Amino acid sequence: MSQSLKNSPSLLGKILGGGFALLLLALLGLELLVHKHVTFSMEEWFGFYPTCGLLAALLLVLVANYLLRPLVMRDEDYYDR
Amino acid sequence: MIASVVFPPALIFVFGALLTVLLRGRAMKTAALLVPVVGFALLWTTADGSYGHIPFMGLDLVLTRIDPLARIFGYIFQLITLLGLVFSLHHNQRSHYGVALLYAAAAQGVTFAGDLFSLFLFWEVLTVAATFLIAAAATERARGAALRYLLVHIAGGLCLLTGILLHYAASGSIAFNAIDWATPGTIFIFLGFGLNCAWPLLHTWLVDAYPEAPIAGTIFLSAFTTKSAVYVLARGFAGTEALIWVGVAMATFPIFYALLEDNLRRVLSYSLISQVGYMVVGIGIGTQMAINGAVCHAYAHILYKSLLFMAMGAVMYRTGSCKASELGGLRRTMPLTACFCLVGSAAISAVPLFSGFVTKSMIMDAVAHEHLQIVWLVLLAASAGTFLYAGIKIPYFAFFGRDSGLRPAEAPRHMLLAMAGAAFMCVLLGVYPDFLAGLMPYSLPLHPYTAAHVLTKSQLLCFAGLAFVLLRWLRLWPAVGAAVYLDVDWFYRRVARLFYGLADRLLNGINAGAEELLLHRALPRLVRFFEAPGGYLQIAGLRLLARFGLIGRELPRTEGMVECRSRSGTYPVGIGVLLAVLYLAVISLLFFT
Amino acid sequence: MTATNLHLYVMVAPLLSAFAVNLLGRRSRNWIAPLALGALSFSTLGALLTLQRVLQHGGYRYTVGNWQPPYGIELVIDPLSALMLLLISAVALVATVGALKSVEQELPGREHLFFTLYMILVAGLLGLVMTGDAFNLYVLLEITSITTYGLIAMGRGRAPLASFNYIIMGSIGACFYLLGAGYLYILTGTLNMADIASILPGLQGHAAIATAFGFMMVGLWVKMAFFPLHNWLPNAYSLAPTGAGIMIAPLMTKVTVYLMIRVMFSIFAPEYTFFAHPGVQAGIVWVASLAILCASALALAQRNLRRMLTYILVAEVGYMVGGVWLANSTGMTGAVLHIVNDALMTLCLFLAAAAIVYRTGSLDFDHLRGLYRRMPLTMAAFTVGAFSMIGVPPTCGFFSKWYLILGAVEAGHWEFVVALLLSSLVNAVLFFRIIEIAYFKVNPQPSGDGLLAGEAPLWLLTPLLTAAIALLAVGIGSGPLVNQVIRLALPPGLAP
Repeated sequence: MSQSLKNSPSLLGKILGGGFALLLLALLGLELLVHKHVTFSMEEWFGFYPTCGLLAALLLVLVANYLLRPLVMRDEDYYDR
Repeated sequence: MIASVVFPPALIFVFGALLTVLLRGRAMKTAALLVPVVGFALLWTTADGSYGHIPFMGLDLVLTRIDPLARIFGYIFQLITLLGLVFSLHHNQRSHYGVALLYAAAAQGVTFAGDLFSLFLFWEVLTVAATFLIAAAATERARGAALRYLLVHIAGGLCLLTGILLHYAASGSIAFNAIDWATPGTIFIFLGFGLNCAWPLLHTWLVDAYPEAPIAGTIFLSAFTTKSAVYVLARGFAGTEALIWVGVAMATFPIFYALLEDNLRRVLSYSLISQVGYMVVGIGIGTQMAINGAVCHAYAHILYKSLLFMAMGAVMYRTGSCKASELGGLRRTMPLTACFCLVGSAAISAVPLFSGFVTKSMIMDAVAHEHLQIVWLVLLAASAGTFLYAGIKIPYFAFFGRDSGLRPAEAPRHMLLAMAGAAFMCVLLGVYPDFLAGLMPYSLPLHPYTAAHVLTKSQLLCFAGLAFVLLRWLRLWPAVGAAVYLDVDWFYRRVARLFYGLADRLLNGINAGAEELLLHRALPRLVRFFEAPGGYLQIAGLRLLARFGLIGRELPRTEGMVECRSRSGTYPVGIGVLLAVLYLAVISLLFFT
Repeated sequence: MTATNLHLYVMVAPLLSAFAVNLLGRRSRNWIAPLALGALSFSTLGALLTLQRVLQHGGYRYTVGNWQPPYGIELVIDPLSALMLLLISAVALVATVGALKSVEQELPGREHLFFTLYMILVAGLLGLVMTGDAFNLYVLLEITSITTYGLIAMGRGRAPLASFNYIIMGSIGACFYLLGAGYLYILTGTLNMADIASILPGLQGHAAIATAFGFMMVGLWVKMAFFPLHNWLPNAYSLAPTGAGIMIAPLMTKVTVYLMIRVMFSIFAPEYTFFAHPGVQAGIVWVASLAILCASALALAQRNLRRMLTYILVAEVGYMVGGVWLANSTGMTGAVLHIVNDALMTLCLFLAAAAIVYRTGSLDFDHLRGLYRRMPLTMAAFTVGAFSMIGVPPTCGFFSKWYLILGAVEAGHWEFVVALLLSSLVNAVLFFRIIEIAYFKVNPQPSGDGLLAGEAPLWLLTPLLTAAIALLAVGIGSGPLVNQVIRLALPPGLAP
């Protein structure tokens, strides 16, 4: 079984992908069950943390790639010339 | 009994360093490994208090001051020394062990110093030892980085010295406790500490030097300089509000660079700054909860950061490269290393059941407790970013991801042993938080594992992971490729060169200020001018005279003669005599008025 | 010879040995080493005992030949002069060990001539720090200068020209001093320093006193190479024979600084020196700061190790002059401590240079590659010396800088603080350039430049290591040194 998993990456990929999706849904679902001890009002919104994680990650990468990178990227031997 | 004869822990390490220089081979390595063990035993059996009072030059030196805050740093420094030495057992030169132990000694000295004078003494030794550690890599880039490191840190040390002297002159006391902002010189001490702590704009030495250092050296480097700076900040400036914002900046800006950088050790260096930012925020808040968090985070950070550096070091040892563009798929032949790397990544990302989860939540709780909403949000976003570059990028591009075709052997046994030790601690702190609770400076209840906490944290991480998947799928993730990403050091590495050329043309001979912070690059130009400054000035004067028609055809010859004279320093002695007489005249004039 | 005139024998021993060296050294070289070293060991021991005596019983005066002042010459042994006695004889002893080897290589056949001048020079220096007579000071100053001119001229290449320039500048300096002493004689009728000091405050005629003071100061500044009157020093010290440089460089300028202190405090009083002419005190601290910065910058341009060291020496003179003219006791403590420390640092670095040139024949930076591997002990000692120059604790250089900066802060002379800090930074650049070349750049030709490049011979290595250890020992012992010796040596009347 494990042999075939290794030899067919797409199958492994699909299994991992599916598992991941399930995990995300489970986490969202658990939010309904667990009571959060909130300090800030915004924490109470449903899906606050997931949104935060997703948006922050997306924003950080996009800013890095499209804002910072064109400005500061140089050739590897820039300082040696 | 031992308590009454307390050696400064630093001295034990210094003796150890001397011992390793005298021994060879197995004996040397064994002796080196024993040093932190002995140090630990001594520290463990010594009660809190201050020892080693020495009157010196009219100052009251306190060589060893042990209290809970210093103690926890002392323990972790000793532990990481042991782990680092185990990791570096493949080195056979004595100099490596000696320098590493000296560096460790200095860190211990800084931690336990009870007065500013001994603090400064050990601070300087930190600089010197670290420079040698970096330069030991013996590559051209390492030497350049070591020189820049040295200059930046000596400048920082002089800033600190100025502050200490001003402080002493004003207050008459050299004791090291919370520093009052009212005494003069405090700002210099603050900045001097901040440089070692790698605050924004003062941070470039870290990302410049750490990736160039030898793989074993980086373990020590990543632990001692910045964390001892964290300690002195916690001791001297706890509760300074400015630190909160410094920390926030520190936590965020490196994330962008870390996401772009190709050299994975450089990514880890930026990551170091980011994590220290959390600690600085904690110190800035200054409440007991916050200080606890900062200190525990330092403890955990040393462990997981060195674990990650060890993993990368092992990769570099076996493959010769640590660049994302050149690595990939190493899990096939380095499974254990990959495993340990994952542990480190989990710890830094604050995955539940690992050390980072416990300690980061302490800081976040402290922030929330003070109702600092913006700070809290930014740090939360930074956590997501951290997961991306440390939790995903590093293990993915090195061990998983595309197959680079490399099949290096597994890391050598001693490296695996060191990594196992660090990984064990990362997990231990995660599943058994009471371990940290016993070490914390202030005893407060510690309950990080509430259902809500675990859930919210997991949500944050998993959805950040989702972002990664999406970006890869949409091909928006930054492409890997070797490049240099300019940071603030561009100003003193490039801009100053242009500036100097301009000033040179204006015959401004003394560009001392900024120029003296430069090195290699600008020095040759500086040197060229000063080989004959008088000559250049005279030639300028001659040309001026020629323009007014006072000197005619002999100008080129005269210029040549002036230049020749000036270069060989053989001015006609008459000029010296003239100067002497002029000087005398001036003095006499002054005396007569 | 009793305890009361031991100090005289401290000076006489090298003098007598000079004659013996000349006479016996002609016959056989082998006489020179035992004579020179024996005499200097005796001097060092005597100086140590003298210092101990002074610390226990206080200073005393000694009349030479029992001719009472003001006609006879008086020697003054107080804590400061006793400290200087010990410093000079110890440094000379250590330097001579190295000089013997170096001269053997550079001036074969002429060692007896060299060491004759050398021993007279040491005797002159020892006498200089003890004398209590203004004219006797001039005589001894000229003795030391003339022997130095001769020693420098024995070098190769352009050394005679450098010596000639030095003769002219040095004679001018000495003449200025003599004129100043002459004015004082006219005013007071006596040449004895203590007598002059007691008569001067009661005198009118400010112009003449001011002129005398000005002449003496400028004369001494020329002799100690205080910027901008320093032009003679780099050539003179770097072209001199290596053996001469080892002893002259650490001692000459420091003794001249000591003389400046003597003139300022034992002939004129502190109130006069610092406060009679407003602006002078502050002005001189400014010039000293400038001296430090310019000399450091000029040192950056050098491509030869010894020349670089001579420019650093000029900067160090700036430290000491500035420290003295800060007009408070902290600055003065720093200056006196720096006299001791700088003598040791310069000794260590010049000995290292001598060891390097003995083995490799050149001190150009390009020839220093890979030295750490070939001469590890020499370079280790060099590194200690470098750290001391930069001011890294626990080497002694740090502690004198601590006092100097503290004194400058107390006096409000921020330009001096800035100059000191910048100079530390420049020194770091200077020395780490060398350390980098010597440590990391692997020498392409492993066999060296013809000479067998191994570690330096024992005769050069031993004094070098002694000096390096002394840097650490004096540094760690700075506390007792300052408290038990220097505090007593400070001239009275300074603001605390």
